[in-house]
Amino acid sequence: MIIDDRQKDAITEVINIAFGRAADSLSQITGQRVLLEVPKISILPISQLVEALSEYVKGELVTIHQIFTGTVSGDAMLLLDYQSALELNNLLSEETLKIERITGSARDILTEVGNIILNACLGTFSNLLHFKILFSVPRLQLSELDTMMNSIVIGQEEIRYAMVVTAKFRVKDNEVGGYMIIVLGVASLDVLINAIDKLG
Amino acid sequence: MYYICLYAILKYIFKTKQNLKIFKTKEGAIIAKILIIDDSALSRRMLRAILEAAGYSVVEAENGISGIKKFFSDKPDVVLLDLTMEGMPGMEVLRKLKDMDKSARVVIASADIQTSTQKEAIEAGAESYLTKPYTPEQVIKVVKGILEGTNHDN
Repeated sequence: MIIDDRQKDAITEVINIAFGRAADSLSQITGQRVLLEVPKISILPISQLVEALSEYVKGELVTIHQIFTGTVSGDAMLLLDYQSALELNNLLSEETLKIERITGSARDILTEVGNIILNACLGTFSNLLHFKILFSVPRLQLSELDTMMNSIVIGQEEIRYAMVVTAKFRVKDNEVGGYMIIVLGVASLDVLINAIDKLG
Repeated sequence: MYYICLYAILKYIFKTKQNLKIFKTKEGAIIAKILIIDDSALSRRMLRAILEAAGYSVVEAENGISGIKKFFSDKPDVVLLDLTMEGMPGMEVLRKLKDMDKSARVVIASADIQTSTQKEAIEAGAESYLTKPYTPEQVIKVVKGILEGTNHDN
């Protein structure tokens, strides 16, 4: 699957706007400035996903998944390393004691934060391209990267190639950092490219 | 003339009772009961804090079915309803509430920022649509507007 430079540029711009809105949401939730790097886009065979993502994240991860269907379907994820997830929870929790493990209430907080951020991103994407997307209930997963990636493949068997968009963010003055990742299957990728072409 | 006056008085009393306009806190907020239906404890906690600080009383439900039951048992003046929830989705809760009680005043409070979803909710009878994350001012403005009859989102 090949996309030309003009299409890649247009996708990058749409993704930039969408991830920008997501970062803004995170900033509003935490009350702190959020720094966002320029999103990177690549189209990969699904078998290479683990290798590609292991460049960014290592060890135990906290992932909030938002599976979506509709005009395009796929899996959007907020990836946090374990320490970042704890820090993010401590920023938002009403508990005075800082926690050291992801517990029931921390799961709820992180899931809702993921829900808001991923919806901000995908919703902007959908509004710009006139799509209609339906969101599943977000779920939080605690696992290593390869286990997490296997759950994506099992969930969506049509995926052979995937567009992977990664954007690194960091909450300023805190040790909270992570990645937003969108994985789209081949069929959705075609729809996306057609919609991008119509943008001109 | 007597009947016209009587009709006007009764109509005024009925409207006042419906909107609870005569009961206000020191800050000027209408005393009213708000039902929050959201599966996230974080969202419920944030909304509760915002609403109680403004003088409203709050009832919570953590899913759609429980929310519908509380709507009829607690008779809230306004419902704040999430869309993406386990079990019954918020859009279905909205349609059921409006089917069962046309006067139900429901505000969607969701992370879904899609304009198509907002349109669908308003067409299904929602009074207004708040996107997460919201500020306390946005929440109070919408709730107050509905209670005072000055909200024109729908």
